[in-house]
Amino acid sequence: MLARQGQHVPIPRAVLEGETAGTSRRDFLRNGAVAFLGVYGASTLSWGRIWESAAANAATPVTDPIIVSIFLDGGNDGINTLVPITGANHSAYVTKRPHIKLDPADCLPLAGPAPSSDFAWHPSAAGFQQLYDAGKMAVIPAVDYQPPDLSHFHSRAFWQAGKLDPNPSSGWLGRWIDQNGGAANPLQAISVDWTLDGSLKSESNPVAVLSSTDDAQFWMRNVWDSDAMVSTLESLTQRASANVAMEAADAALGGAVSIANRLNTLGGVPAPPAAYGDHDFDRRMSMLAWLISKNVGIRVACISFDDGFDFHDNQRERQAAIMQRLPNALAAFQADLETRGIADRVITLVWSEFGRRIEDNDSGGGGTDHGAGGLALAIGNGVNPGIASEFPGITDADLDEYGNLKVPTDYRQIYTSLLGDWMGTDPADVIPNAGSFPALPLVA
Amino acid sequence: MAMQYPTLPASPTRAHHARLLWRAGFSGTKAQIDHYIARGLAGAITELLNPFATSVLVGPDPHVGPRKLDPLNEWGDDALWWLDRMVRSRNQLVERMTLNLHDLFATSNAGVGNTRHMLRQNRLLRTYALGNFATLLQEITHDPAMLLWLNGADSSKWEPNENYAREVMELFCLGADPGLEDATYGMWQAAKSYTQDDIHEAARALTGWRYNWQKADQGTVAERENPTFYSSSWHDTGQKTIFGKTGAWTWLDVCKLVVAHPNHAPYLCYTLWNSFVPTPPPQDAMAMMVNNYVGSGHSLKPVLGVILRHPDFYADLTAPGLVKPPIVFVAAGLRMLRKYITSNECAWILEGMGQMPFYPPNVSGWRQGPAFLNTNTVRAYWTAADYLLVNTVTDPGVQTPQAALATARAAVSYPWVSPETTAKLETYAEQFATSHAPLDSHDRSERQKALRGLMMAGPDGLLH
Repeated sequence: MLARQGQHVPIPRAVLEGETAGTSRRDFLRNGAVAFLGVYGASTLSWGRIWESAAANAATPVTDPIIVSIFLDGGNDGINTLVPITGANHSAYVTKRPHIKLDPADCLPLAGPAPSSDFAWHPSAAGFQQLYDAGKMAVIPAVDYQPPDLSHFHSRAFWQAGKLDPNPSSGWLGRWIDQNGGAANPLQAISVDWTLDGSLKSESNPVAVLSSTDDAQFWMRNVWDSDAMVSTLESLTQRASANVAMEAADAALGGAVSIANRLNTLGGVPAPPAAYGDHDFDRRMSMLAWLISKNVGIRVACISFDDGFDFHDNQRERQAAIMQRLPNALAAFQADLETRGIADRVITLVWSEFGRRIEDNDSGGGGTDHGAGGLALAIGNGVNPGIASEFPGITDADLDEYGNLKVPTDYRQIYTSLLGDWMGTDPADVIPNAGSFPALPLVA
Repeated sequence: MAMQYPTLPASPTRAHHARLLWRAGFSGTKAQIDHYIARGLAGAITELLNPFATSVLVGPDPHVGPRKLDPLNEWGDDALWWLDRMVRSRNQLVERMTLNLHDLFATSNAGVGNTRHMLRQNRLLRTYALGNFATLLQEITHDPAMLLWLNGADSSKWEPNENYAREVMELFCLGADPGLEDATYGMWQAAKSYTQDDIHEAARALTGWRYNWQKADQGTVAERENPTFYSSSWHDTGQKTIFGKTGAWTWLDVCKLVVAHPNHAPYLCYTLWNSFVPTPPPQDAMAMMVNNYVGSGHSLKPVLGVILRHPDFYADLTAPGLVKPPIVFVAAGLRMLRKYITSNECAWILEGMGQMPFYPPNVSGWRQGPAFLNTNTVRAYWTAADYLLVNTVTDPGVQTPQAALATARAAVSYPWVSPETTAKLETYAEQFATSHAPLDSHDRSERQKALRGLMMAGPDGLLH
């Protein structure tokens, strides 16, 4: 890769030397670069159309399926999220985790349409229990790639890219939007975060980043007549851009003002109709549910949790604090979607870049190092409930040479399942060698 | 070998000097640009390329409320410490190049987990910002932050780790994109590119560096800053074949072999050029940069001399095409508003804008250029401008709309504003006067604030 991604692509020398009839070098650079930045170019020309199509959407019942991807940054410990409570696995669990083992008596059983006596939830994870017992959750208990390299950076990049490329030019959902989205509506693919999730990185169609509907407005302190200022700001972006950078500045600002204006027409965000907590993740999840209900054209969305999962030390306390919040927020999100009548359209995927070492360490009262085989969850009315893939076991005989879970399931099998069975598109459009990653029984 | 330089524009204008200080530094006030104008363009470039040894920092020391900065212990103070240097240093090119090198050797404290090491690496990059790249490469190869970041400290003859060997070739020194061949007019050649075997062999040669965790935690200050050491017993002493040459190579040999690789000079020069100029280097620039780099024994200064003198550096003065990285936007904003570090707000502003110093997103650095801009980050640039403008706006008294715009431009130190934008800002100033007539003191201040904000963080303000 070039060190400076996104600045410009190398130009064929034939063109630089003027061998293309009727195209000056400068024109070519300009045109080539603008095409490269089609993300922006396409949107600047047609902001008005975005909201026309959104309004049209609102007038007819919308049934398009949606993927929401939730990233647990740092490598969640699946084994203490979904605890092995019976047989040889439980004996191994007790032996290998003297510092952080959880008592099965405190853990929450898996009942409902697909009961399991092999596992129980972390004692604080009542939201997971609720979703599972209601038949709205599929569990993928040991998912990774081969060979797992235990690097945060590589693993996260691979998951986001949908291929084993540490410096990808696009993400798996970004490629899906390039194939199936439009050139006009950035809200079709939205990171409800500060920065763009790598999964959403697209090459031709526009995507949005929105951390807060409040943050979306272009106010300034002591400027009371905001409308006059902001309409001027928008007018500054409406011009024939002289170069790629100006095009990008005009389009990003124009898009952001346009999104701000669109949000203004939706009115204030009402109190959510579900029992969310009061952390930033809860706020962003309820904001997303509300945005989906407003039919602004969202097809794929990404959110990262607001705390880290890299439990090298003091895991018992740190993970419990998170398990008191994350499962509840997901249950609240599902309840929110159901209240709004849009739950049939959404599957929520929860993933982390890897799992953790089966043996614990004694750092800060007990922690775990990087491991393989993480836990992923698919949640929604449309999932096929239950344990959806193999759990390879944690006895000495089961583990790999480093003491990690073996990896019976590749993360791209989740993607091919969702892209094919849920979105109804050919996974091969988005995932290289898709045929090597057979779908799991995730979608009902 | 004689150094070669392009001919400077015959009659440079104020805009040329402003461009120079924007891209070779962090812009500045009218007086700071006048300082360079007084030297002429050639003299200004000479001053930037020959840093002052003393009285480098000018202006009041940074502080966060009542306390001094504490970069080792307070969140964000490391970023503020460096931002302050960008704002106050007379050696503007040194700081800008330190930033460029931080982006090239992108090392993140998220992986290192040791601010002391990060600050040490920052000093190293600053020391060699205009200096000898071959020496810098040797130093950074066993820099403690880098040894932790790219697993050099975990690598041994028993289990050589390829991470640093790969990145030193792919990202830092040689490049891997076949498109480079055309972009460098064939100076970089895909046929001569390194292979996976070269990476593996170089990884073996690089073994031997280790990290003393106990000293890192409990040693003397010097030991805590640099607890690395070389252990012959961890080094693979066998023969290795790297780029077709066989020997019992060590880490030092790898550094020398990489710098001697025929693709290194074109790759590095091409990469450096892209930090300063938004259009690809023309053939004459590539030839001069490579000539000067190799001829000087791998010094960065004569390469920068080509870039800062090249006509393309001064192209499009009326339509600049380089996106301001967030750090540049904030540092320049402080300078142009004559402000200094007095709180930690700039740290969270930089984080929100997506460019926290010492935390590049990954080993390939920040995605530069238009990639800095998305619908959320442009809103963060706007917030930054709002913050930077706090306590700078007062009632200018009764003014015509044109005079109000002139006052606003002067207050933000005359940033580039296109004629089209100027016309629209005038329209705003006029319509504001009409719709709020008669203007009271608040109205006049409000109009000033909005005009300044629109110049700083409107679309023109994101470019330089």
